[in-house]
Amino acid sequence: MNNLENLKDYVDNNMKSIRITDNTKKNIHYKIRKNKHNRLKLAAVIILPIMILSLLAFNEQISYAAQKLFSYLPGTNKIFYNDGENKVYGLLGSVELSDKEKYIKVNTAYNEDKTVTLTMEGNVTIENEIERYITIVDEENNKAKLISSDIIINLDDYQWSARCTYEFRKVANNFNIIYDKFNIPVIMTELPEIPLENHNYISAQNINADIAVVTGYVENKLEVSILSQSSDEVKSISFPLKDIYLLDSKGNKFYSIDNNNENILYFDKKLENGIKLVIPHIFITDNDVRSNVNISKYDSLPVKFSLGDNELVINNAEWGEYNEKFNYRTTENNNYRMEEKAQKIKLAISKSLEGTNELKLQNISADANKNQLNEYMAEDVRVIWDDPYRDADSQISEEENIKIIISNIKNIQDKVDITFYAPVYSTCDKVIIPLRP
Amino acid sequence: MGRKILTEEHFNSLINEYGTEILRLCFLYLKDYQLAEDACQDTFLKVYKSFHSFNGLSTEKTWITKICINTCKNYLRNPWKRKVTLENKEFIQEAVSDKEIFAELEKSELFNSIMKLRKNYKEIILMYYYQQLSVNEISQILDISESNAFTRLSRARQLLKDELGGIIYE
Repeated sequence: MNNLENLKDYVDNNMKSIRITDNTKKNIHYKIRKNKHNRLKLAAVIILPIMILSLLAFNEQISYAAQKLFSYLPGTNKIFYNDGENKVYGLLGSVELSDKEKYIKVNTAYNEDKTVTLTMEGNVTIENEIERYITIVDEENNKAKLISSDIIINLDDYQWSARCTYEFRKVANNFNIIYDKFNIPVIMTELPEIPLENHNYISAQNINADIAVVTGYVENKLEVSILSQSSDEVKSISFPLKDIYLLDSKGNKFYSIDNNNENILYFDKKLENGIKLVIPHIFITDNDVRSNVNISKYDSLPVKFSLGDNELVINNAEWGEYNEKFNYRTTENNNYRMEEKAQKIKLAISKSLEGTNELKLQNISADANKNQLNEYMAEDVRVIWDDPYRDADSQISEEENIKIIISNIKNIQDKVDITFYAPVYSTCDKVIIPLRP
Repeated sequence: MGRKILTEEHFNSLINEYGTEILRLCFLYLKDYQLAEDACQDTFLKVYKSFHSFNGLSTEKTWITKICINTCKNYLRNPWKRKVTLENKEFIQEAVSDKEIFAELEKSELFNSIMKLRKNYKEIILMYYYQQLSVNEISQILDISESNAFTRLSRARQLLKDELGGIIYE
């Protein structure tokens, strides 16, 4: 098969054995019955916390560990520093209010000074205007002010989740969430302080970040949550989850059998004396720097430009013409084909960095000025060749160059304005974190 | 709240009409028969639970596909939970060999390349060419503008062309 239009026939012919059977139908009806049975009555349910923290205790010295107090609230992926004066309060567990099929659930809550941050989910009506429907009041009935909210609504089943920060007049450790005639009391408790003497924590000075590790067991698998916090808000930290491993005292490596996007890894290995978590490198993305560069066909190369603190060099710019073809089916099922002359430019950018041996530039993002890209009208829709998911176009080559291809530039352009942004760095050294058995 | 009623007869007709296609889409998405089975069952469970919210502005197929895609994405996002769920399965299906089916499908270089595409490109190719949905319907499913859906489809095809050295017919 080399024709996309034959894909359906090809797949169906090869998947004849995959079909809905009576057993599948039986399973679906079984799940429906089970679901009805499990429906909760009107109740506020407080689920007791999973005190993963109890697994954090420390008994072995390592040279680079910091003497710090911190608190951790499961579910927040956040480290709270504790200066001994201002205690951190959080909701240990979750609170749920449900009425027949409708519910609101508070998954996490914690305060920082006079603000309280909540993550909630539910399926009651909020219509993207959470303030209109949900009110937060302190114990004296003073209404808190919503200062930020981030809401995602899945319209399939009207399931929403929200992260909101409210500000009270004064520090509030207990408060009420009011929805319609319902009142959900939220009682936060002081988060236990964890003295991070020697294990499960490292302060990575080279990237100004703190990394803590929380461990626990789920279904006999070791669950390792990696928490990180950069002191620089515009920089985000990520980890190469598949490359992270446990190293036992005999030098054996154990890679995770599973991981999720929230920096939680699962290992088929138990904690033991001398075991360490090894993070081969850490990625840091600087979201606050950008640089505009004009590249002309007539420029002599190399062209230097700055991105943040880095001096980068465009060593090569290869222009090429091609026909951009676009074939689509209309809503009436007619096939429609468009073809337009276009250009693409392939850039090779030197990623050698001056001034640091600790961080290595791994990648950068680049966008061309939209006015210089092809666009057309299709079924009254203005289409421009710009895709927010285009990050696959940049590649790291073995020659220490970053290669970036920008395509669908208008054929008449003999120059293009490119914005470079979001450089991604990786640390050169391994980060090794001893884990408490 | 005026609820739309989903009769058992209508629900069964939805399973009969779209079930196999949804199951196969789940399989293409998840590449694992047992997971695909679970995802397909969860899709229809959600169809049953939220039929009252189906507003009729899209076709039933579009609406069910959207639920299916979101379910599969959740499965991919949370691999641990789905593994735990599997262990508690109430019914065990007869074995279907994932590997054999995929080995057969992957004899086609084009199919192979589709499967290697990044998730957002793969899904749009599958929806457009396998499910035969229009760009307008795909934009509803993915909650993106039609323009964006056009662009994404175009890029997916371009990537396939690049991968296959330009040999691709549309």
